[in-house]
Order: sequence, then structure tokens, then C-alpha cells
Amino acid sequence: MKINERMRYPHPVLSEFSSDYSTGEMSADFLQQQTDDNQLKIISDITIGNDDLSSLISVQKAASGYFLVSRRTYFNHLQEAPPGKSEKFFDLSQLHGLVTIRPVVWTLNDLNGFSSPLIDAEFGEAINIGKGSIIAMGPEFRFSIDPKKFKPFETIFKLAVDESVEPGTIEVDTDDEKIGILAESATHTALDSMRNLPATRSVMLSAVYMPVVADIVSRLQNGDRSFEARRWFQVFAAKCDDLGIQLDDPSVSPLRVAQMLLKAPLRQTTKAMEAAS
Amino acid sequence: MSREVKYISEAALADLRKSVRSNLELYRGPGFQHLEDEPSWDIGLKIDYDQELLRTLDLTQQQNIVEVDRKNSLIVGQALAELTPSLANEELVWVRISHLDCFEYSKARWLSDTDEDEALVASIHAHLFAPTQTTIRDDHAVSRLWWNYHIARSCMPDDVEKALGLILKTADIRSNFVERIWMSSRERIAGAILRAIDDRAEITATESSFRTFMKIINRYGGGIVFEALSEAEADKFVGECCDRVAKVSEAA
Repeated sequence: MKINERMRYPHPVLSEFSSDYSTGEMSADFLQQQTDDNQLKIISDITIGNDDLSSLISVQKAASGYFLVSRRTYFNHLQEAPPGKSEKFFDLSQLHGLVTIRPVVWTLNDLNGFSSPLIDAEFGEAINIGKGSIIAMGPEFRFSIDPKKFKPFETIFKLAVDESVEPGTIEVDTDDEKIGILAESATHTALDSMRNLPATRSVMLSAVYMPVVADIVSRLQNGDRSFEARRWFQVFAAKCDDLGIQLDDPSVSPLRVAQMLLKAPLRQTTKAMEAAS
Repeated sequence: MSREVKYISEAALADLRKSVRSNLELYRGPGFQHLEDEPSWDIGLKIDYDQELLRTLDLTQQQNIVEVDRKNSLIVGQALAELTPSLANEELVWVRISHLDCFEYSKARWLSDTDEDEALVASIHAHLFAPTQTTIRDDHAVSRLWWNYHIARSCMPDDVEKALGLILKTADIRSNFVERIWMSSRERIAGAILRAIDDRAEITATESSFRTFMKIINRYGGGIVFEALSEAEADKFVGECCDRVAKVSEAA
């Protein structure tokens, strides 16, 4: 029953994912802000992209708006919002984790004999569409409402000694509440000093943290769910939600995800090296 | 009596999780009341709960556990009515509740079946901790009851007790309601489905007929904006889906 772009309808739907209309698409921009009184302010800017559908809205045969959904709290609300800019407020205590917004246009009554010159001929000349049918859909917008996402990313890692690791190399231990970066004692001491000096701390980001994060993303993409219960994973997942990263999508490069999560560490490293030279 | 809802610190949680094996005698015996006033166990949320009501949870292990769960879901939902859905996602809150106010209930319901250490450790991790969304919703001794209540209230706010009875009627119905958020969190369609479960016995007569019913609801309801329909129109849609189940059964 989920509303998404893969669905096919017996009537034309204006969307960038279908070719029911020869041209045009529904689009929307959303800005989200948390207010001081624990509200989520959503500023929507909806563009319908088709004059015939815009006319239906202006004569109140259809309406535009969006579904705002927070899976973890069973919050699923259809918010009416007119084309153009509009502000709405939601109670933050009803939301947690990933929040998705799906812009839609729907019919408010049965529409009999609807037509538009842009509709594909396979639908015929006069189309009947039932009340409560989706007739346009825009791309989904995602963000995260989770206090964990504000935790510094570095707090989910710890350096630890493991004498079985080959000197000069590191291994990753995900089986604890923090991600363990394991090294034998001499390497561990070197890493520890690097971490504590501003000039070399950024080198650690590229040389140590980035490959560790890429390794973890790769394991997640391979379906490893053994560490879902770990505290570090909750911070990790909240950050990914916030950046719109889908951890179970194997088509996304783990290296790219690691660079997004660590905010382009190489840039910080080169900056630090330039400053040092 | 109203008391403030509290939670434990991350460090206290990590320590408790690590110490399950060394705490087995506490789990078997008196529990963790001695930790109640420790600063790391005493962080207030500035919302109240009804402690006396929470202490009336039914500890009996009747054969009809569904009826006990229904009754207890109502108690937890009402006693913790001020807990928001966002806070109800926090393990730190639920672990404190299952180790203090609801310790006797949690022990009777989930830890009383075995004396064997390994099985007991597994049960404690499964039912007195709640590290993921799924465990919060389905496994934790107390939070699963709160979420039963929350889902029932979002489907049928005017008669939560009745909705709870219908959702918990079988494990299959509950799992459909908790897993299909595009159905269970939309009052118009969820309410119509519950009314059909109540009125049309044939759709829940067997597991297979209920699954066919849900498939038909999904197939024909996908993309319908039920929020735009009246209650009568949603009931009509669900009624037609019930008729289709009958046709599928006849054909089979």
C-alpha cells in the first residue's frame, strides 16, 4: 500500500518516473527547521508542471500536498499544501529517525471525462478517475530526526591494542558498543600520538578512519546485520539517514559513502599539509 | 500515583548489558531496586506516569496469553500515556522500566521458563533490553505492549480496547499491522480493515484467507488516498476486498 514511483496506475499520473504525460513533471523543494518549541517547520515549494492539473486544483477537484512519514513512530500524515510556497508545523515528539516526504496531487471527487492533450494516447480521449486517486507525484525527500545524529562521529570509534595484528596495519572490530580500530602496541602508540596532534589528526581521517568506514559500509551492503544492536550503529545509521544514504543499496560506492560521512577527509588532510609546509 | 518517567545513562546501560551473566542471581531473585536512586539510573524526562496502574500488570501465564497481552497492553498504554512515540523509541527508557517498575512482570512473562543459564541470558537480552527498532516493537517485555496500544490507538482512536482485541487476535494479524505502516498508521483504511475483521469472520477464519485478504487490500488499495475518502467509502472499498477473498476461496 506504500505510495512510490514503482507503482502503476490504471489512470495517467504526472511524474518523472512515468511517461503517462508526454511532457512536464511534478517537483517540490522542502526545507526543514526545528523550532524552539519542539516543532518541525516544513517549508514546501510545490510545482505542478501541468496546466490541466493546476486547473483541477484551482477549482477544488483535486488537491496538492505531501505525505510526511516517520516509520519508527507510525506517523503517516497527508498534509494538504497549495502549489507554490507554504509553511506547515509538525509535533517533533511524534517523529523519530528517518522521515520521508512524498509530494502528491490527488482527486477530491470522481473525475469523469478528464482529458489533457499531453496524456499518452493509450489512455483514450476521456478518462474516468475515482475519488482519492493519485494523479501526480514528485520525488521523495528524506531527512532524519534523531538526537543521535548530533553526536560527533569520532565518539563511535576507539583505538585498541591487539598484538595479533600485523605491525603497521589495522583491523576493525565491530562487535562492541564502539567500533574498535585494532593495532599492535607500537602502531597503536603511533596512531594515538597522531590523533592527539592537530597537524596529524587530519591525516588519521584519510589514512585510518576513511578506510574503516568504507569497510563497514561494504559489510552492511553485503547484508551483515550482526551489529544492528550496537550503540555505534545507531549513530552511524542516523548520520546516513540524515545524508540520505541508503545503507542497503549495493550500487553506491562504499568509498563515496565514507567520504560523505567524514566530510571529504582528504580535503582536510591536504589543507593541514599545506598549512604545515 | 504519578511519578516521573526516568531513563538510565548510556554508561549504565552498557554496564548492565555487559553484566547480564554476572547479574543472573539478581534476575532470578530480587531484581535491581537497589539501583533506583543511583544518579546514572535517575535521569528525569519531565513527564509523568501512573506507577500504581503499571504495577497492576497481569503476571499470570494463562493458556490464553493473547487475552493477557491485550489487558496488559491497555495497562501499559494508559499508565505511560504521556510517553511520546519519539521517546518510546529509546532503549534507555525501556531498560529502566523492565528492570524496576515492571521487573516482576518481565520476569514472570519471559524469564520463568528456564533455570538453565544460557537460555536465561538469551531471554534477558531478548526481552529486558531493546537495542533495535524491531526489538522495541516486538520483543521487549514492556515496550511491545506500549506499541500495541499506540498502533491500536492510531487505527481506532475512539475504541482502543476493541482495536487491541482485534489486532492481537492472531500473531498474523498483529504482524501485518505492525509491519505495514502504510496501512496501520492511516486511520481511515486501518479502521475500515479492523471493522471488517470484526464483522466478516470469514477473512480471519484461516491464516491463508487473512493473507489473501491483505494481498487484495494491497493490490487494489495501492495508490488510493484513503484520507480523501469518508468512513463509509473506506468501508465500501474494504467490503469489496472481502468479497474478492470469497471469490478466490470459491475458485480454489
